[in-house]
Amino acid sequence: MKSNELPLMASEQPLEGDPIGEVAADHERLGYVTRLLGSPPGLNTALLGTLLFLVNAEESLHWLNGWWRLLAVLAWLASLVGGWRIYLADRIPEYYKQRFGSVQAARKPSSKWSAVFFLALFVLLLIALYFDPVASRLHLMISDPARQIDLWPSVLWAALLCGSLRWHMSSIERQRSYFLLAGTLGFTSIVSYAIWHPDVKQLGLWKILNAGGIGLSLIALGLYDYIILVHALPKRVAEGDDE
Amino acid sequence: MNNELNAVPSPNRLIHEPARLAILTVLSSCASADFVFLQKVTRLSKGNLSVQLTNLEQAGLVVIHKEIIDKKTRTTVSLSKRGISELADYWKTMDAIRAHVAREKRHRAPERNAPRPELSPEPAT
Repeated sequence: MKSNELPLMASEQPLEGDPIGEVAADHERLGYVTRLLGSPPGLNTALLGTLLFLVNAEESLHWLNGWWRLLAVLAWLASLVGGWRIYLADRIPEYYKQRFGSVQAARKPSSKWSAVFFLALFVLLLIALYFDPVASRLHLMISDPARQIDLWPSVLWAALLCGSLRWHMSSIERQRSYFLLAGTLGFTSIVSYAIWHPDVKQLGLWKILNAGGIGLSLIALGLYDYIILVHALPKRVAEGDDE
Repeated sequence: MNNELNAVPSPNRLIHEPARLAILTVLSSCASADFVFLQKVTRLSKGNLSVQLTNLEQAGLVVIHKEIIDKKTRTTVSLSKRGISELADYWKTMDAIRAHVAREKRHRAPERNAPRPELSPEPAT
């Protein structure tokens, strides 16, 4: 075996500090990439995000006039139909299989965990029932009675960030947490800028970023997962036979 | 000294080899994986990967399933029950070794930090 064929292996790294810990960390990384490929494709998430963004951002096209508006609406319709066709034809999973190979995800959680999941879902639904008045109060607090500011993208990023935090994290998991932190800060700044400068709500760019926040978030999350896979799984692997 | 060496557990040599450990780690994170993915994630050559998989199959640690789809052979590999328990034992052994090394370091630290005895001056001749 050539020594340069296993860049992820800790055995090639200098044996300093805690070599066993380093081996475990590298294998956590291998496990992370495997689980990532076993989960729904990131590009599918990005495509769904694009469709959602197109649907939400359409309202923000009112500032265009005449022919430009007609062209924009036509382009919008074409993108929407094209996106749905790609999604329904399962082209992305097929591309993933060819580019990265395929992984069957580990067994689904046992019935005990399913029960816990459904119980948690029920509790969340109950919370959601109470959330609407809370949201109204929240919008009043941030001087947005017309509820123009969309708080959901910030909530989504913050929830994902909290969910990603663990006591022991491998470097690849830590990297993802930094990415989620950047997303949380980005979308929170869109909200907070509108609170401190209410005039910005009239700006086309702010309207698009605010209305298409969830779509943009899904695009960013999906692309991030895809890029991680592209980096971890090279297109070409060693062809030579070194038995 | 011999007693000290006997106290250190030894890891399973079959699993301890980096390429095989990488394959088993990947398989422990999923139900099954195909050959293409295993090759890309471990960055092994086709020949090397097949040899390692054959070794693991002969040891009863993995199950290899081959099927023909569109005139092409598709190889899928999964961890056997024995493979799951052996891998778990391997990580337990590694944890035990780590704990042993940490213990040894703690024992030796006071020895290293202890002040050196002053050398008596050589008698003048």
